[in-house]
Amino acid sequence: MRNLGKSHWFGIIYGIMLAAFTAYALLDVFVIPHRYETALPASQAVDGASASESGSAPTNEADDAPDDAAAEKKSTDTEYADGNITISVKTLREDDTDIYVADVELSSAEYLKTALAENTYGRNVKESTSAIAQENNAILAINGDFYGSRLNGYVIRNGVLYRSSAAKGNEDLVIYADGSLGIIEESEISAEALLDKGAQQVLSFGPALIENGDISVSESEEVGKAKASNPRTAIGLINDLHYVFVVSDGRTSASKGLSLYELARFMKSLGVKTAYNLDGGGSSTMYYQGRVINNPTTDGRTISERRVSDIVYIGYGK
Amino acid sequence: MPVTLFFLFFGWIYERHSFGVYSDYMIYAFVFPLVGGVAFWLWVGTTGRNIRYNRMFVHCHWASIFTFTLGFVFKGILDIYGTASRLTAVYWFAGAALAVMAAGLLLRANIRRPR
Repeated sequence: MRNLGKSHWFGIIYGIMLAAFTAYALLDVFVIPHRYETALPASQAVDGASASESGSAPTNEADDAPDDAAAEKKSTDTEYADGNITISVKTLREDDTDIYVADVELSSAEYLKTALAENTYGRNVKESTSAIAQENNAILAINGDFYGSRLNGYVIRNGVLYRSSAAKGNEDLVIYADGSLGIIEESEISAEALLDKGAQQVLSFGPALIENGDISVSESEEVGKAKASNPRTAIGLINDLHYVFVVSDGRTSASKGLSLYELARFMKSLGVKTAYNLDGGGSSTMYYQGRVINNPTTDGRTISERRVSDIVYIGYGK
Repeated sequence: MPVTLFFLFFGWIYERHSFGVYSDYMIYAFVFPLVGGVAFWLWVGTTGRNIRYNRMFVHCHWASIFTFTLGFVFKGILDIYGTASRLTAVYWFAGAALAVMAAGLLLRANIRRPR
């Protein structure tokens, strides 16, 4: 073997550069915030606008809690009702897991909204679900699709388009202006076309759990590379303006979590016609009347909220 | 071999704590030091004894292996977290460039020069 000498400077310098680049790359992915666009509040979002075109718009009077609705308001730990919004929250147990179900009935789809962390579209722009919910006066909120963790996938919030790059093979949930839900594949329709069709919200996580009343996931299907039961978040439509928000605990001795199929089966048992899986794991959080009512956990030991990009909520907005 | 075993063990430990979420990149990160390191130098030490190489080749060779290995670990971390980054491309380009340089240096050292 040739005598290689004792100089290792190339290896040392290259190793330092590689380590430094890796440290920077990890910081870029998980820590360094990239703020691209300030979101319009839900009450000022312009129908069919892209983020670059949006500007100020007249406040929709219906988004302010009407005086008659406020006068009728009844609120308890498990029930809320005013003239426009009715919410009933209950905790069920199935598959060794605590599942929180919020049954929601609305007089108008405008009370079903989304909000972004720090009111800003970007990457690594995150807040807890409860913080975003409080900032937006949410009555009920769940975590959204954590769009900020991915490079692609449509992002349309409150009628404003923020990202139109498609994620291959992705199934999205579309919430239309009339409150109906639809499932689309990003490869089949553009984000702009969805806006033209009246999409108010597009969530890009998936998969769809129930379509036309039938379970649409197999028993072996999982999100990405997951292969175990986990905390889950899902949203479903029972009939016109009648929704369910579902969050399950998991990763603890008290609640093992659900597989996608178990989640779909549970949603079907609620009478859901269309259901969609949102970001789960440590992100799964349900906020109701000022407090988090489930047990969010990332590591299965510490109960604490994960900071997320966005939420779906019921309320009158800011 | 220690490097191969380290990345094999690292990948296994990381996945044990990821609640059933796995990544092929994390699982197979050990393959680069195994094939490019252990297997290659075993061959050089046995069948390939006549192979000539210089210090620069060794530097490029190992740098390429570590770059690909670290790239696989980085991608595995992202996969398990459920995110992505365009910066992973830097590992593939750098690793490929170093591998091509190493191959070129090895060829250059072993091609017979006309008298």
